[in-house]
Amino acid sequence: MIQKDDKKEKYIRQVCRNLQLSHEMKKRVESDLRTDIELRLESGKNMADIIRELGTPREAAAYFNVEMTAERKTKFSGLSWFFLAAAVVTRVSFICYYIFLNQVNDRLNEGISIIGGADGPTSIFIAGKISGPAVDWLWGAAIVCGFLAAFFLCAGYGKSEKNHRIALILSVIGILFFVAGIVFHLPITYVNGSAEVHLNIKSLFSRKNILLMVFSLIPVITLAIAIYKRKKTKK
Amino acid sequence: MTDKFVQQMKKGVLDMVVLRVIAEKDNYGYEIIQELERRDGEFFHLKEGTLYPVLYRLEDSGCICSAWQEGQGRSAPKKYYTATEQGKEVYNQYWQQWNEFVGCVRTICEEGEQ
Repeated sequence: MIQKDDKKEKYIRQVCRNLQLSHEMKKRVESDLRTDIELRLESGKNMADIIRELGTPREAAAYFNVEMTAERKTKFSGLSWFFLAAAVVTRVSFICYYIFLNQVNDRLNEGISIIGGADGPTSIFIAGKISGPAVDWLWGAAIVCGFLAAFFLCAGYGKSEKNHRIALILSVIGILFFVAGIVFHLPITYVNGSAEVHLNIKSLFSRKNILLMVFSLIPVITLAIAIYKRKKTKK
Repeated sequence: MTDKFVQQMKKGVLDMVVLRVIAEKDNYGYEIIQELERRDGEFFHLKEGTLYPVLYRLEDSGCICSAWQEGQGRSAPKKYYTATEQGKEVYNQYWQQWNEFVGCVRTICEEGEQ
């Protein structure tokens, strides 16, 4: 009898674990399922017969999940909340950084570097002043988009197709920001009055930029996952 | 194609049929499945996954209510469903509409045959 009860409870637990429903709905299903199994047992069936009728816990839960689509709720896991928090922290830290940088620039007014001989300037680098914060902002936006995409990817159940589509769009926007960041990093050099654009490899690969670039690759990863998940959902 | 048609038809009348069975007698979910099978055989061979959403929908709309019945001897308590007065009224309306619907469909199809 105890063994039969254990098997019954184990089966119910496993079915409920695989249900993609709200907590309240799971409780409802659990109570009805328990009654149904109890009645089947009382009619002389054993757990093996019941599992044959209802299916394995995974099969039974899958059936409920399909039939109860309207009741399915989007579930935000702990990991998804972590990514949302990371997006917020990234955005806030970039704002703080920008405010700090502005104050320093205002105080020191050293955004423009003049390189040249005593007879007059030959080159004026203004890249540091213009492109620096802009690049940071763009890469920062790419990271935020990546984290937000990860947030939607980690959200389970419910409207998963919609979540994957949002993640895909955010990833693409993030990648665009990332690419724009690299483009903006091309320092503009004024040589004797005419503007020249060339890639300053050394400044592009500064320690800070490498760190930002690595994090900016998050949208690339989320894009790949979003495409994979969309394909899987369509199957 | 035929399967889909049958499924849609079944879905359409399931609330009414389940409400009828519960209105006749307080029932457990499993008993409702058995009763439908006994009366009809193949057509209303329901799975729990199909029945429960119907029960929850009827319960949420106030047509039926659930309660726990203490088990006799060593048996565990069981959840059963009872039709409310509102549920019985709703069933009468459904039945009336169903008859009108069947009449309309018959008129349309039989007129086409003549």
